[in-house]
Order: sequence, then C-alpha cells, then structure tokens
Amino acid sequence: MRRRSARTLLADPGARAGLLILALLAGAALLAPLVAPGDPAALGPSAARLLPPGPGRPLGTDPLGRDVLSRLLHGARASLLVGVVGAAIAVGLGTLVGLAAGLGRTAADRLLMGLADVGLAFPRLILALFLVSLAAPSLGLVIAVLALTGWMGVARLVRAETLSLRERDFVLAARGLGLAPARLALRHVLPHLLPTVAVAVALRVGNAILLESFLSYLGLGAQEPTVSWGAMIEQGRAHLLDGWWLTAFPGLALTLAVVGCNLLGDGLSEALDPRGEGRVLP
Amino acid sequence: MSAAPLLAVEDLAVAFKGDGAPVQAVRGVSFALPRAGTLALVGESGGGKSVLALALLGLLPATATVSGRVLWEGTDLVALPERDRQRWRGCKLGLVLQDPLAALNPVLTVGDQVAEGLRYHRGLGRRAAREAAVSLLAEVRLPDAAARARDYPHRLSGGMRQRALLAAALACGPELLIADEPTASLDVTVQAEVLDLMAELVRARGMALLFVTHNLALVPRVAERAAVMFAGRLVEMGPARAVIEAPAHPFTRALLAALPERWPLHGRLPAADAPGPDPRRPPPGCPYVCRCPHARPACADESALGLALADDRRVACLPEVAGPLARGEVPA
Repeated sequence: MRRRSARTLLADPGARAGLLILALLAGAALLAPLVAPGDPAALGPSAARLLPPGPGRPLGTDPLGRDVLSRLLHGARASLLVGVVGAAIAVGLGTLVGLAAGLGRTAADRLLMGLADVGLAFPRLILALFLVSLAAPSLGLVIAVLALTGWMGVARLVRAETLSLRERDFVLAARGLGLAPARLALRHVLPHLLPTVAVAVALRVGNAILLESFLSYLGLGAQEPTVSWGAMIEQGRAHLLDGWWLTAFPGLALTLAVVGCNLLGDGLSEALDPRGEGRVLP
Repeated sequence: MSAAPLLAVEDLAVAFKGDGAPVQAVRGVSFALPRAGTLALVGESGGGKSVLALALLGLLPATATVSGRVLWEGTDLVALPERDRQRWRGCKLGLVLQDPLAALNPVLTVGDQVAEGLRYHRGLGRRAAREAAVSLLAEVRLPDAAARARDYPHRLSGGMRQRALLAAALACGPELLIADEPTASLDVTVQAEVLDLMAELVRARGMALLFVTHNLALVPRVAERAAVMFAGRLVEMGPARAVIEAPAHPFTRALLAALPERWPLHGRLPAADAPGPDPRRPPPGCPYVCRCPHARPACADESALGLALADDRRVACLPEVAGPLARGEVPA
C-alpha cells in the first residue's frame, strides 16, 4: 500500500515538480557554504556596491557590496529551516490536541476546541505580530510563534477524523484489551491520521515560510548577520528602482518554495487518499 | 455454587441519555457466573445483550448511566475508578467482537495486535511478545502462524481473522471471556469450527465464558447455561438444554420457532408481528405483552411474574402460563 502511494505520487506531474523544486531548494540550503561563490557577510570594496547581475556576480551585489547569490543560498537555510520546523511543530501540536479532544472526555474536548476557536478568531498575522513583540526578535522566537499560531486548524481537522475513528470496532477492541488512553491514541488511532497529517505539513510549510519572511521583512525575524529571504527583501526595499535584483531574486525564491510545497501537498493528498480517488483535503 | 461466584451481576441497569426520556437499554438484570462457568445471553437485536456485555467491561459511551452492581469475587466493578477498570479489562476480561475485519486494526500486523496486550500489561519486549503471539496464534490453530503473524489483517480470511481476534483476547490469560456474537459474520461451517475451538479453549484454560448471540441453536455448542433477554430484561434462565427443549417463556418459544432449520423448505418463517416496547417508557410488568399470544391483565403486575421450574431454572412469566408451556401444553 505504501509502495502504491509512492508510485501514485511520482506519477503526478505536479507532485513531481513540487518534489524537484523542494529538493533543489533543500540542496541549496544544505550545501550553501560549499556552492556559494563567496561569504554572504563579506563587505565588498566601494566599487562593488549595488552592481547589477554580471560576470563574477550572477545575481549582483547589495549596497554593502555583498554577493546576492551567496546571500540567497545562505538565506535559504534560515527560511526553509524556520518554515519546516515551525510548521512541523504546529502540526504535531495540533495533532496531539486533536487526538486528546477527540478521544477525551466531553469537558476536555470543549476546553481544547474552545481554545482553538479563540486562536482562530484572531487573524494569524495580528496574533504573530503580538507574540513576536513580547521578546527580542530571533529565529527561535519566530519558530515558536509559527507553532503557537498554526496548530488550531490541524487540531480541528484531526479531532473530526478522530471522532469518526473512535467509533470503529478496532478501537473498541483495543479498549477491550485494557490499553491506557495514551497508548490507544498513539498506536491505534494516530497511524490512521498520518495521511491527513502529512498533507497538512506539506501545505503548512509554504505558509510558514511566507509568514517567516513577512516577520523578517518587518525586522521581527532574522537579525543580522543571519540572512533570510524576508530580511533580504526588506534590505532591498529602498532600491526597488535602482536595484531590482535585490528584491526580485529572494522574492522569486520565496514563490518557488511556496509553490513547491503546495504542489507536493496536493500530490500527497491525492496519493494518500485511501479511496484512491479525490483528495484528503478539499 | 457454594463458593462466591466469579462474577455476580446484581440488579444491573443501563440507561442512555438523549433527547427526552432516557432509553432504558438494560433493566434489573441479575445473574451469577461461577469460575469456569459458561453462560449464553440470547435475545433479539436491540434487546440489550451487547449493551449488557459492554457494561460488564466498562466500555459504554459517556452518555450511558450504569446502576446496580457487577461483583467480581466481591469487588464491585461499577464503582471502580476508570484506571483500575482499564487494567481489569486487559488482565481478567477478554473481549471478542462480532465483525473480525472491523475489529482488527488494518494498519497493524496480526502479530502486533495479538501481542499488544502482552506488551502493555506484561511489559514484554518486542521479540518476546512476537514469539508469544505466534504461539497464541498456533493455539487458536491458525495455519502457518509465524507467517500469518507478519501479515496485515486484510490478507486473512474471515475465519482466520476471528481466530486472530480470539488469540488477542486470550493473550493475557483472562478469567472471563466475553464473546459478542463472535461468529455472526461467518458462514455456517466456519462458524461451527470457530465455536468448537472457542468452547475447547475455554474448557482447556478453565475460563468462564459469556457468549452473546441471537441464535439459540448455537447455545448448547458452547454454553452450559442460557439466559434469554427481551427488551433489556432477563425473561428466562436455566441449563441450555432445558431452555431449548422445554422453553417456558413465550418469547423463548418465539425465538426458537424463528430458527430457519426448524422450518421446512419454502415454509414461511414466523416473524415478529409487533415492535418491542418503547425503551423510553417501558410498560409495567412483563415487556413481552405486546407480542405475547398468552398475554392477560395480570402480566402488568410485576409481583405476579416469576416461576422457579427447578433449582437453577427461572422464568419471568405468570406461573399459569409458564408452567404449562414448560410441560409442552397450551396454557388455558
């Protein structure tokens, strides 16, 4: 069954493209120190400032003479790491909350879903802005904010599926074996949720990367000397007219990453659908 | 029955909350099961058999209210906190459900599921649990047990799945096995095989058995005693053979008459001609008056019901009806 899913995934051109894009970006991030032509933080001589793309500087240089390609490759590390880790923690947290709400007592269910509803009632950006303003900006804080603002939707999704799973006979049989609630949830219910969770992770990574770049753009995320795509766009903002390459390339990279995640998420939802048709998520 | 029984159910009642009046699924049920005793709980669909079985295990949903007592060698399980009940379920009670495909988790191998109780309750390691699972599967006579243990449930046939489920329930050596219609989804020959196997294992391991079924004909195969349930109440209880050969309650008679094997080919089976009583507002006295051919005004009087035909045989019916019925005569 797993092999069949992998084949379905690879047969889908969209999913293949998504995988390819993400593999390239992940490779760039991992190998940045090796493949980058220079040090992303090394200031250039005054003659090398704000140069358009050309020989020896494929993507140009910034107002401080730093090589944009090197910064883009190193920026991939922060952007992708924060996006992936932030989304993974958010989905993990949401899955645990959803399981607890779906399998627990009515009172626990009401409390957890009430919290999720309150969280969803605030626009995510406003909530994220409020949370990052509580401490000194850093990538760790951004990850925490992504996790804290991203779990609610997954929790509701997982709870809904858990509610239907708990009525299944094999859950009753497992309870008949006298298993503790945690073992029941993690070993007998969770595996059935993995397709939903995998799709949620893929779709949410794109979102998290965008949110990270937004926060960095506002100066609330990556701080110098750490580079991230959002921070690069912010630095290039003053030169939109005389230095288009400062914003265009990080913007393009962001777009590619988000498109890649969404393509993969779509492909996964189709490949993991147990009915073999349609999608796990609408 | 001089010593305290393994299980004594006293005045057990289960009601489900919902819109309007609660649904009274089980009302005032009392029976006892000695160590290694076997009892079949027989009745029609919706009669409360499965609810009673789940109530013994403490597996009813939160909307159910259970009253009365379920005494396990003197310990009242109903009053026990959920943590203790959970342990009780795995170690002392075993459960086998009706539909073996639905009751096996499709994403875990058969061996993992059989070993699950051992790993959790006995703390067995992966290897030891796997070996124990294989020998359990061999004990339920699953052919090629070692290979089947590595299979996922969808690769097994219905009878094989039911054996695997039985092995999982037996893993921790329960003292009471509760089997809820364990063979209803199997064809007749496999059904007989699995039932005989179950009866044999119950005997060999000295377990007590509570066998829930709608099919009276299966009862003598596995159980010494039979309890007939209608609309949440026990209407007749006694040795399985006596109940089948000389049914004293009109409902038991109707249930027997509805067995297809008792009817000639192409004959019409008798069907229930009226619904059971409203479980939200059960009538006073006998619940079967709505269908009973011998119903009379005295049936509404609770105190008039009840007849002991022998030491171990009781009928919840008017003596002037049940007495003649048990002798095979038509009541006046």
